[in-house]
Amino acid sequence: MGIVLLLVICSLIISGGFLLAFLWATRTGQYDDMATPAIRMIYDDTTATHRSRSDKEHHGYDDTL
Amino acid sequence: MTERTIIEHQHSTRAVCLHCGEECGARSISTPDGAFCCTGCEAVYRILSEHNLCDYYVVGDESTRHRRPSFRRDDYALLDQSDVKTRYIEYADDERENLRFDVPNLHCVSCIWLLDRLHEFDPGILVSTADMSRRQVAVRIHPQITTVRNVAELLAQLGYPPVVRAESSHHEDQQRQQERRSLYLRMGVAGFAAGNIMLFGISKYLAGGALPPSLSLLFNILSITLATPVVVFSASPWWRSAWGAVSHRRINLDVPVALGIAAIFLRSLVDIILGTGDGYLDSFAGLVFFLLIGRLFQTKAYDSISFDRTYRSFFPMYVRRERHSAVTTVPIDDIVPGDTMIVRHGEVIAADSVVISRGGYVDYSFVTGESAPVECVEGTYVYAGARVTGRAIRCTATAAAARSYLATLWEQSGSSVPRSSLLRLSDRFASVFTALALTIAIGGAVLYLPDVTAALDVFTAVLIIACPCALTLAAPITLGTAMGQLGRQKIWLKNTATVVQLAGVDAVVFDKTGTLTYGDLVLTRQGDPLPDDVELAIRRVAASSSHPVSRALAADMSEPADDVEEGQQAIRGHALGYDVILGSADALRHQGYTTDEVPRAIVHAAVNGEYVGCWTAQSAMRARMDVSIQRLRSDGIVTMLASGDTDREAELFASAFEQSEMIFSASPDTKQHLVSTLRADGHHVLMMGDGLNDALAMSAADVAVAVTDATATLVPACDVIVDGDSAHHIDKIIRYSQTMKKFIFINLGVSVVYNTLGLTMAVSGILTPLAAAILMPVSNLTVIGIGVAAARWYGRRSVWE
Repeated sequence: MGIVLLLVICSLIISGGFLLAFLWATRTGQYDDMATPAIRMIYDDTTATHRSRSDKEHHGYDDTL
Repeated sequence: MTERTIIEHQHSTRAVCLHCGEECGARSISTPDGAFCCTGCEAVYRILSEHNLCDYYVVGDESTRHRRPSFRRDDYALLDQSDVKTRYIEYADDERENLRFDVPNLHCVSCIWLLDRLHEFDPGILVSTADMSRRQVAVRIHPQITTVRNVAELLAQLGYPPVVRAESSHHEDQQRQQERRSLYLRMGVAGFAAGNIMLFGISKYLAGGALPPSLSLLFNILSITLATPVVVFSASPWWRSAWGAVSHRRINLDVPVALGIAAIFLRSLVDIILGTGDGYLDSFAGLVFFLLIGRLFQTKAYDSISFDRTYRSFFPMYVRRERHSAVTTVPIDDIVPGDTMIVRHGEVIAADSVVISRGGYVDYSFVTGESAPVECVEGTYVYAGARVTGRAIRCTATAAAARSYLATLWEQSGSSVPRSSLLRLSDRFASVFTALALTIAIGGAVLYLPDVTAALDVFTAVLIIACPCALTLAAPITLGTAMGQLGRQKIWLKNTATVVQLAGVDAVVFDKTGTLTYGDLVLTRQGDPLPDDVELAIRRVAASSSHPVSRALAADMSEPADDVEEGQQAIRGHALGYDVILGSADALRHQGYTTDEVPRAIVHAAVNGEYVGCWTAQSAMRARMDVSIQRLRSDGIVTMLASGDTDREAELFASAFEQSEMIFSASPDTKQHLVSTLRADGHHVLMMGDGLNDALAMSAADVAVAVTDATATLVPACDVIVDGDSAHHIDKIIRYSQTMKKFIFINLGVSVVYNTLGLTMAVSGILTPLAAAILMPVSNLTVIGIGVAAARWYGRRSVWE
């Protein structure tokens, strides 16, 4: 009996936390655009200087700057 | 220009443009970095490399990059005026301004990459964020360092000219966003409550009454606590809608739903408090959650596409006005009779006016559908809506834009015709349903009298089970999935109800230019192919002329030839060592050449004194369009062609249409009349068009379908937007919609079976919480499953190939 009470309280706290996280995410607009962030994450963070098309075509990637 | 050389390419060694990756045409620009196909591409490359943003070429695929930016500095001058500027500003204080631009050209990975990095170009831009689904870019600027106009110009330079925003669009955007957010919030709360209450419920059912009373009490208290926000918050749309309907003495489908969920909640509350039962709170929360899913499907819409447009959408917002020899950009409404306007190539004349410059060419393809350009000389009267091709013209307005022929035509059409709607059908159904449910509930209760408790039990049980949850889910989920399947084929529906509209179609009226045919003037070479260099020479000579036919012949060539003489009906020039004469048959015969007799030949050529053949002009029918029309016909659907064009191309369509089904030289009025007559004969009419000239007829039709070759371009107000490549799917779209409508009825049948089963249990008083907890989700899931599976199966990829 006591253990069931503990489990119920734990599960409610945990799931309630997720609910709050969801509400927060929705209210801050994180579900407004579901397409772009998925694309944005594939970019590399580095902004290298001048890269030419031909380098990319030869090696598949660019290692010259 | 010193480091540029013009290269004339030989057959196999064609260079690839460094910017767009397309094959460089005959006129390529070679730089130390590489070759470019046009100055536009080179300009963008320069901007990018100056700001060290050549990573642009590493992300994304090349095929989608090509845009030829063309804009002039004064195009955005109006953005310096505060009343226009505010349309782009979402928030402003001294430190920052949040701007939002619609950029229809945003469409791929590299676009997002570039538009996220606008701050690299201008120190006044603090942050920029691209939004793929809405095709917008949000920009935060420092108002002291840069201006709205600067940002708009930067976007245009990069090949993303921002679209003029209507005054209200900003407000509507935010409202829609707010609605969607609150729907998600409601779903989150309902789902959370449903899951947890169900866990308590399962333990009670499994224990079979053997649960310790203290634990049972705890579960009951928690269940009620969790269910309260569902009643107050998640289910509130139904309370509001049902109350709104009842207070206006109407019944909509939300009334029985609201009755059902109210009954289930109150009954559970009473049961639990009085200790007479465990209540149905698990079913209740699950029910609301399912209902919200249905609503999510129902509100499905395409954010990036605008379906509602008026004639004004076709007109420019701003016009170049010349006064006292100074040219300023002014809003279209500021044009008064007597004002002089300067209209350039590709722009639309905003007000009825008289040409005062040397003349040029305009086409009325927007207004009448006639694609052939009309020559206008000094003194020619041109209507608003005419598009200038070739040389820029100056003209004097004779009426304000709002009083132009086109605008008055539009006013005449008035508001759109009332359409038989899904909503009305479901409302009628709802009144019958509600009456039936209440009768059974009261009748059942009377049977158990004088046992008041049993009577009340039966009364609420009937209302619970009669809640048309599965019924309300059936349509939106089937139609929403169908809408998504069509969207994959580049067929965009305004809303889910459009599927039902499409299913009823039994007459289709087609426009010709741009709908059945490709929009551009296409020249077809007759006779043997020419050697490459001869063809190049011809195209260069053609490029020197502003005549629309020459422009079509020149295609993407824009490097003119040397010493060109332009005569009345012919031009002569030198290029690549060839002496080229282009002109009409008469003009060439006049010079002593023998020309081929080819019907519809529009231009003939002679090179180095020798006749080399001619080109015919015709609009080509879209691929597989004739097959589609045949299929429509064999399905018993009336097909008509209404073209604003003359009948010179009638035989092109003779295979698809009977002579009596084709109407040529039709004015916008005639087209509208045709549609109205068909409707008056009891037909359910679909009008398929592409331009302003069809807009009237489209507003009169039951379903308006707009065909467009670029989603960024303007289309008339419509219910469906179809990409040009998918226009030949029209027969399949109608068939698919019919199938979907059939499945809605199948689903209604299924839910009626479940409801009858439940009702029998309710009336006999054996609807236990466990039975309800099983029956409700099972019936909902069956309906959702059937709807989604049918929409996906009948809309699967192979169907469209």
